[in-house]
Amino acid sequence: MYLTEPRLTNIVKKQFLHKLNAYTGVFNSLIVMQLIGIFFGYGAGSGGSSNGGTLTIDYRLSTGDGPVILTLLWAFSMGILVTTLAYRNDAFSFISNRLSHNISSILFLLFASAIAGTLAPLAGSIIKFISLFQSNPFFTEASGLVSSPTDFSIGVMTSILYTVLFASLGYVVGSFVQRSKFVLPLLIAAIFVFPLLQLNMGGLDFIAKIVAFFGSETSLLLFLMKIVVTVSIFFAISIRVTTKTEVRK
Amino acid sequence: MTVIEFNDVTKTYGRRTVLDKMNFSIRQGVLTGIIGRNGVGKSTLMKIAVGHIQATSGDVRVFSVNPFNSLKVSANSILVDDAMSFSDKLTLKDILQEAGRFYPNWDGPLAQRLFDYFGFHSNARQVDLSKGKKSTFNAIIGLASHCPVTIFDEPTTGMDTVARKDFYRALLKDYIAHPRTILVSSHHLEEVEDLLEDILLIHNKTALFHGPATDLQEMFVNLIGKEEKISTFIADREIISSQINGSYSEILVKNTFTSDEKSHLHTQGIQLVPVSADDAYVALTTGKKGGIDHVFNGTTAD
Repeated sequence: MYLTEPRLTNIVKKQFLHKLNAYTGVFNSLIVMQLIGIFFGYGAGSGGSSNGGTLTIDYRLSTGDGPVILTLLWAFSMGILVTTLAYRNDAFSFISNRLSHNISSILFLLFASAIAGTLAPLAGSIIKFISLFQSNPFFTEASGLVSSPTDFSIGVMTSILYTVLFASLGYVVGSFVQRSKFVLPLLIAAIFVFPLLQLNMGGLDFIAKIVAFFGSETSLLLFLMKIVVTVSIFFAISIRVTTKTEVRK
Repeated sequence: MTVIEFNDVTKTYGRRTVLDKMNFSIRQGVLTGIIGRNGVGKSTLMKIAVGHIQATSGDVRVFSVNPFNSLKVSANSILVDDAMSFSDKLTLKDILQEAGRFYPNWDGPLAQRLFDYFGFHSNARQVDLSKGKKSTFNAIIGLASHCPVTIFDEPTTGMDTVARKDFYRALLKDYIAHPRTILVSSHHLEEVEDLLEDILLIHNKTALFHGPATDLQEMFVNLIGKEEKISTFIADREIISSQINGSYSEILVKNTFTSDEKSHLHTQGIQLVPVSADDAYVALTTGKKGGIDHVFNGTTAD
């Protein structure tokens, strides 16, 4: 019986295709999350009425951010999910090593994030669409695919990049949690303790700085670079931490 | 050619040592049974061999490379055990297809015939199968993948008698048709002994015996004869088990008799009866605590 000399790229490709078939549950939960997002985005819009003598203005604010925010949450949890024991054991039922499993999982995350990131602004458009019909408005402010395609595609790009960022954050968190069972309690403790520490250390704006680092970037190219570098670091750390994990124990 | 080689391999979980400086090597194309009591490290050994877990110390070589994180070893070996799981999004049919995409030697027609023979439904999910059915399904993947190193860890767990017999027969037939290195672990030696070429007996965290089943049998012998005559021969020998049937005694001892002694035994009317591999295995691994009877006899032995 001859021995096979497998190539990493070949196995990664097989695993990626396998994961597209095996991880379909991820997309079901995406749809649920975005529907919830549409519901909240529409329902949570603030409204009011201004009365200026003879003129009465009724206004209502609906936002398309609901689906986007929930998509980011989904991306984060998906990142964690694919690092869990069950997913890892499944991968090792066929040909795999830790590197190929990581790379194919990362490719899957990128693929899923691209889909989710594209759908999120579209789901936002649905909210605008519903609002338009319901309130018979005089003014609507929205950058749609038809009215301003450039703005809209920048919106989609940004949405995809944020989704990738959150997915990679989930992946690195998940990798650490899988590495040691002490990471999870530490992480939860850190979430509560960190803001308290900030008050004393004068570093309250640490988190604000991180948010600003990505959020205030006006150049798409720079934003893209920031995301690519951050995400690459997250994935590289994940690969490094999980290279010794034992499977199917 | 040696395919699997363990040199002083130790595996510890925390303070618990599962394998202790284990040494053995498996030649290419041999069907070896990994035999041992519960919890002696059979599964650990197999998981190390396919690179699922890492040895704490010592040197492991499979196809001359360290199996941990080796894509070559993963592509040329398969481990079928309880922990073999598949996504619940895939039907059994999907899983067979996926396996076909991964394993270069995959025998699709064989997988399909076995799948039909054992009465699986294409649209069922692996997680919903009963224990025995799950074992059978996993075993089909193990057989049809035709990996140069094929490892079955307690493959018949939960299978009914018919399925067990069918599986071992299928394994033998497939092995003859496609000779490859196969490891099968079991604690029911009597079930697999006809199948095996070699036995690797694991006991006390190490390889206690490795060789043909007949060699294992020849380590022990049953003496049958009148009690008073036997007793003179066994006075300074370690008795592994004894049974008294009327005036005849049946004593299991180590087969260390010289040919002179053997002829002497004959003249005294004492028969030397060969033991089964299973009896020899039990004799080797029971320990000197006197067996389970000893527990119930309640002797306040100190």
